[in-house]
Amino acid sequence: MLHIYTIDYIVIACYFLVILSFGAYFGRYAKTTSDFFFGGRRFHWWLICMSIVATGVSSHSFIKYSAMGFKYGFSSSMAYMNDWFFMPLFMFGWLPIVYYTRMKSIPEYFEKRFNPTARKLATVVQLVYMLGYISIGFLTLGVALRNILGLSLYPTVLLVAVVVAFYVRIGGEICDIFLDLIQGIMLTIAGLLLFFLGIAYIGGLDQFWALLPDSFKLPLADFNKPSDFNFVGIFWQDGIAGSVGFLFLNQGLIMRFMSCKSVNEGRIAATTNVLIFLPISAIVVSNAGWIAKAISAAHPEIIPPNFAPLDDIFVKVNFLVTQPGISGFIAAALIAALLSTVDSLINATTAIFIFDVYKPFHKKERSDAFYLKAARWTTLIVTALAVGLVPLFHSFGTIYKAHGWFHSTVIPPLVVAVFMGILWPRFTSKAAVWTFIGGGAMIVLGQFFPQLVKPFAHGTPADPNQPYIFIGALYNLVWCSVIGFVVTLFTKSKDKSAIDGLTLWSIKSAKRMYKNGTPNELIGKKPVVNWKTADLTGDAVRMSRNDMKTMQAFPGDLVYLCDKRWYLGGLKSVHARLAEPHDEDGVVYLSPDMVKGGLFTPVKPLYAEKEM
Amino acid sequence: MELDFNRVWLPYIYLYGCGAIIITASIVSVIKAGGMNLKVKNHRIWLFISILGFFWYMFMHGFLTVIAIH
Repeated sequence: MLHIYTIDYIVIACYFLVILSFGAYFGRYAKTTSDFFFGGRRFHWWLICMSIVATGVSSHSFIKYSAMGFKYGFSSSMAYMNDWFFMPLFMFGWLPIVYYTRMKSIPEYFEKRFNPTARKLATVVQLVYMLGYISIGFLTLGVALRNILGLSLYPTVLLVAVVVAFYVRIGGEICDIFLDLIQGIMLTIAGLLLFFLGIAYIGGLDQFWALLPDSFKLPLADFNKPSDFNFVGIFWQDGIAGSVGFLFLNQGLIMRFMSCKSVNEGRIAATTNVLIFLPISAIVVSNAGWIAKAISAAHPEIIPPNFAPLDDIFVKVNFLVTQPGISGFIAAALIAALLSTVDSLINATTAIFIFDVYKPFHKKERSDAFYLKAARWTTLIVTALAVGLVPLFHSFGTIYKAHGWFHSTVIPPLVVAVFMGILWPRFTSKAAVWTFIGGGAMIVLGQFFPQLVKPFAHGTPADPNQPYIFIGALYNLVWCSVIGFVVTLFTKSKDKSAIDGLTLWSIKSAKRMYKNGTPNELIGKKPVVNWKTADLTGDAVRMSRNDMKTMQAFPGDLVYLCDKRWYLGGLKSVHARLAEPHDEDGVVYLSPDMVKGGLFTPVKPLYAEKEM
Repeated sequence: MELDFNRVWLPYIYLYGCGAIIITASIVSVIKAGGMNLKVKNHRIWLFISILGFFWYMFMHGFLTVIAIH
């Protein structure tokens, strides 16, 4: 049990109060299921980027990367610095497909691209993936906070779960995105603060550098040893399966991108995150382990070289190198990290449950208000299920291992089916189904007969208790791909028109379908306009001839209208379609419903931007 | 721990060897499929950023490796 000062508890309590107030405030903006799940597809890149930072840097990151940082050094940052390779395919392949086809969930893609059976299988795997992720999040915070709160593991998990369920339930995606902005900033500051205070505690950067062994400073791990942390295993488990799983298949992250005002804003958000924030995040989540290693070298009586349990190293360093109050702030950042990750995941799992389980089985169409209410109750059920899974992951040993195994075994069938689905129009529905069934069977066989994985192991030793946790991802990916490929060769593919807009080769069609017409690619300017209400139907808006000329827009084109105040990040905005022009320059006419949907404030001017 | 080839440079070569194959295949696919249209200025900028991103990480890992062993 650590010695915690009263001021630390006050800081943590204040943080919770602020978070809950913030959630309650922005929760009032979630009026429809579109708002609840996708934030109304309105937000600007910087808001989404910070939200992705907060979602990506989860609490298990702080705990598990600090643990690996202490044991293996700077190579603990590997997982944060191998995500770029798939970015072009994501930005110009997957992102336009999900955005333009207005996909609500990943399993929905499987039904459109393949068939309802593939959707059901994808739904099961996605739910397992998301619930596992949430559960690991709860476990991590339980492990971290039990020392701070002086409680045992499960009461801590329950306390956290109640708070998370409360604010996700009241707000949904809009609430998440704004909370994530605060949390993303806060946890980045907290992580860097811990780094600088740790360096000061050790006696400066030179001292820190001198205390670390050379092998510890290398940014990549040893190629194939030891079994619990080697480069090649982590490359396939995290750099390939994990990166694709997170970027392409994590419903929580996909929902963030679908909350963007446009595909291009999504690209900017993703790029800024990977190129700028991920390297910073690598330092933020790992540095406690590096600092601990240096302290251990200089003062083994404070942190022994064989410190255990490893997952406690972050909390230990935090309360060792910081002053009372600051340690409370950093602990609050840990809570922030968990909340931001888990709230997105609970929201995303709720989306899958509503769109892929409830709606397909209850054919009767209900009102939007009904689904919104159902979504809010589902968050509670999802939270309870995730809490129930905590003991399973707790039995795994370290969080790093639990997470690594989870990634390498659950994701491969989804990764292969999606990749072959978007890249290869010939890839058949039966092949997708067999990728899940046959691939799943081979994955299970690999778990029971590790000798099957050995030919893929690149010489990594097999841990007798948990053999090939990481490199197993390669075996799983290869088998799923082979099965998908072979079954495709012997089965009939869908007609081209049935998969129009759903593969990389038909993105132009997806764009046309999104607009319901030919896209207008002319580049125009963004006029500032005042809004007035008029008797218009649907999403139609009317602008002046001159304003439309400024935008290089024509009737039927899609337009994005947004409150001019940049710091709102698109909160008050709406997507619309241009109707016939009028002659009143600087004025846009909207229906009262559009004003309500856009959350527009009287007198405040808007800017208009042609989408396509 | 011995800083031999397996420990220092093999992971780097493997990472950026596989990475180069993946990113090249990704870029070629999106250009051939028409998702990235090089006639559009905005897309040309994105192509440049895609390539730059690869070299940015390659540089960072290379730089950190060199300062670690020297």
